Amino acid sequence: MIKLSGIAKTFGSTHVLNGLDLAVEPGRFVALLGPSGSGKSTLLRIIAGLDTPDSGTIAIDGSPADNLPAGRRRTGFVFQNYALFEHMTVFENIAFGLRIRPWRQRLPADAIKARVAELLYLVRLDGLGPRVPGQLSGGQRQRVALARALAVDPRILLLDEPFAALDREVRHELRERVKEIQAELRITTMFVTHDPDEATALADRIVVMNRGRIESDTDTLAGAAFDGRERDAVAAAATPSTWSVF
Amino acid sequence: MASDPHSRDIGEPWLLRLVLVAGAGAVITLMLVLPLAVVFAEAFAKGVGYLLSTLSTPDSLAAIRLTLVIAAIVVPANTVFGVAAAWCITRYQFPGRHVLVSLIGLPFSVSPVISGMVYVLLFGLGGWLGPFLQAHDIKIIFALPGLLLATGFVTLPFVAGQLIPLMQAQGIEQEQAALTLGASGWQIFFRITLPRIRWALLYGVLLCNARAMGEFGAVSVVSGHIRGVTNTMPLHIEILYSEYDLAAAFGVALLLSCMALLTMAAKAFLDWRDHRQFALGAQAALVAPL
Repeated sequence: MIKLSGIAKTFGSTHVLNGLDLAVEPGRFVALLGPSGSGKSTLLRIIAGLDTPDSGTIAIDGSPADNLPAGRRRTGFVFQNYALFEHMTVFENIAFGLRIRPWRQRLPADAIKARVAELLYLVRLDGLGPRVPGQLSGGQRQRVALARALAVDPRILLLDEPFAALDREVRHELRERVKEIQAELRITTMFVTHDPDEATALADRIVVMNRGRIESDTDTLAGAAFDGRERDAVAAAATPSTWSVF
Repeated sequence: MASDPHSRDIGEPWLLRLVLVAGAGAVITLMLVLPLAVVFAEAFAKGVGYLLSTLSTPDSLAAIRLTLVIAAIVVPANTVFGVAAAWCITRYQFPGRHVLVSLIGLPFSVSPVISGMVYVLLFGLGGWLGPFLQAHDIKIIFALPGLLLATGFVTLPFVAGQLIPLMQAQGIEQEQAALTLGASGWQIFFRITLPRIRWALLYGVLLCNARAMGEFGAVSVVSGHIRGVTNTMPLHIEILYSEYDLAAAFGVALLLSCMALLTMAAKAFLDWRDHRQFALGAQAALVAPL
């Protein structure tokens, strides 16, 4: 359960988020849909603790998370460019979150090994553990990033434009895999996208954002159809642009 | 060979090529090779026995020891400073960030003599803090602390200068990924940041060390040239030279040159390693299955 109330964020003179409220029930798969600069990535980073809001509160599973540092929020974050540790093997990448725990909480080495093998199977990368990220394709890198985020048993999975850097075919295949994994683990998931088709294909709730506000909020699980009129509005606003608030 | 991307043939006539290559060769020989050859020739002019005896005089040994002590203190100090400065400058936004970057580069643009003089004006007998230091019997100028300050000032930009552009280009996403996985600040530094900057760091340390051992101007001002006490190797060379003990001067110069050559060899190795890694990485990316 994630509860955001009155989240506001300004970069310089740009209001990226304007007092935004959002509550996400456990196990949901939420798409944050909107054009570049609509504040959706910033919102995701605020939930992960990578950015701090100027005002507003965040609660995760009923307890306030405002002063919880990123490392203790137990959110799995998949970056748009994956941010894999290039100097480590795939195995070490996925094991990272398990190995850095204080030794009292750390799993024994063979348990870590078993857990990584399990995750490699989950993302269908069995046997690629000894590779380094430089030897992987874009789709494979994305799967490693996903497995690494899932390794620490996160309460929430956050994906920032997870398929944007992939070509069409790989993108469709990975979408299906991510959807299956989310259904299997029932982990509360939020992802950012500017592609309405991607949002409808994956999410059971679609939150449309524009100019730091929520424009519409559609629960497709409850039977509501994602309105065609909104789709057109988003598609019109989401013209390809490299401009972003950063 | 038009299809060979490594060919640099753009069709100059062979005579022009010959002239250009010969000209470049002549300049390099005259300005780099010959001086180095002179150092070796002069150092051995009176035989190996004399060379060893000049290197083992108490004054020479003291100069060598002092230079090593200065490098052993200044290089680690500037390494820690350089890493910390690069970390702050590339990881945080704060007022005065650009001023700090310029300040770090300052020692490169100031003449080393001035770098030494400011410390004399500050800590010397007639300087601002002179009376206070004298009253408390603290010696900075004409003593080891002064030499450390002057050397540290001159070599300040090397490590930070290597790291800042690299860390800026690398970005902070990997560090942020480690952060969301629960890593502490030190874990992020030692497991993510340091492995990614280690070769640039080593490179900066090498350059810093070479300069720390070879610095003349700033050190000359604060040293006072007390033989066996505040004479570093470069200063010792000058004294021997001005006393017309050429073989001895070149003997110490030979030792200093060998240190520089070693540094250059290490630097060349790092360059070669970088290129090889890049080539291997590109190759690996090409053969990676989809």
